[in-house]
Amino acid sequence: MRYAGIDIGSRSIELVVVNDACKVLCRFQADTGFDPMAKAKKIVNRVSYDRIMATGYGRNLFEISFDAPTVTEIKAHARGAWTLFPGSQTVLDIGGQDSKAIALFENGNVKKFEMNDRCAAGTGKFLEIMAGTLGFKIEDFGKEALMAEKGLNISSMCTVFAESEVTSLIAKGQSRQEIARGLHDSVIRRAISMINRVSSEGDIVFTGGVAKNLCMTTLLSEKLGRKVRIPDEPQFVGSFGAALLALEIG
Amino acid sequence: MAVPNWKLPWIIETSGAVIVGEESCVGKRGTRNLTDNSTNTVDELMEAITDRYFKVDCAIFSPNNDRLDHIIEMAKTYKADGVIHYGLQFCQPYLMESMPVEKALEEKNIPCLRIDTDYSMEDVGQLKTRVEAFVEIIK
Repeated sequence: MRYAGIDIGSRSIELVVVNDACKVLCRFQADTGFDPMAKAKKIVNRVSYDRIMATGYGRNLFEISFDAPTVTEIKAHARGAWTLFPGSQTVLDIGGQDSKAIALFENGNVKKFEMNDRCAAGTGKFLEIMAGTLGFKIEDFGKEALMAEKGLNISSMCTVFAESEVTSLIAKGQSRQEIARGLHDSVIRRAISMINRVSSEGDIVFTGGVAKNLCMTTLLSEKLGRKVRIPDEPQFVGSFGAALLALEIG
Repeated sequence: MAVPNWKLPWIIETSGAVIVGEESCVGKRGTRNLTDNSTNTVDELMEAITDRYFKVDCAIFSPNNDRLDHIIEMAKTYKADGVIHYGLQFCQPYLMESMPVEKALEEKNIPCLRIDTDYSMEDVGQLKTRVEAFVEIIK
């Protein structure tokens, strides 16, 4: 049997297909764009599966179109991370427009979670816009920020206000890398306070697209003093978790 | 909750959960510990009104252990699987007391989800994810 998990997020859609042994058979990714269902259909039509489970912001829309069961991305990331790193009890997921810290029971079930409020502060979208303002490619943003010796203090967390703040720092002739470092510092502070509210010790599994940012992963483990584990493809953890849950309901 | 702000009750009841009780200024607080009107003199009635005020467990009072005890008691009476602490952003006392409430419930092994929100609809997507995830935990 083949079990699929589709994670329809605010920025991207991921699809993973696993077999009965939980082995990944194939995976796809696409930008969500303005018509997530059309994109989702396109990806889904490329694979064959026996059962599919949807997660992410578009899950309820997908449920209507495909008559598929759904699960929240909190449970999906928890299950994915726990399977990749057995025994892990804390997960940090930073995606396109939200971030979550999740504490797990020993059996992998969700114990408690914290999630950011309403706006995109402290998420992938925030970093993406800031990278654009500073003229960095998103994939180089973390590396460039790490090269700075110190981070400039950025007090706004709101993406719009922070962009104005960055623009005024640029106008003062401040170093781009130091501004970038300051932006990463502010996202990390927010992530750490979320983690501390759900768990106080043990390794952390960092999932979601933002886990590909080298500055984020480095600073997280440095400032938190805890080991941070990064999956090979962190943005697929939600869809992988959903595929595993599709397998489990059978 | 304040009528007609049905945002959170609507999210909860469309996410696989049922609200069995409500402890808030427009919920149980307004209908419990009512003024004893069995007395006859003005002085006694004044006393009765004062007594009623002193039994109000609004988060504005400190210390306010009565509220924590009452929430736990309500959760047990109504056999609730979990408690959602609903704070509106203008009500600082409720927001500040949400932490002690969560702690008191966790000590009794009652799952608790803290939500801070307002009357606007822009956070419905995120709230739905949080409430659904909470329902997944208590199911």
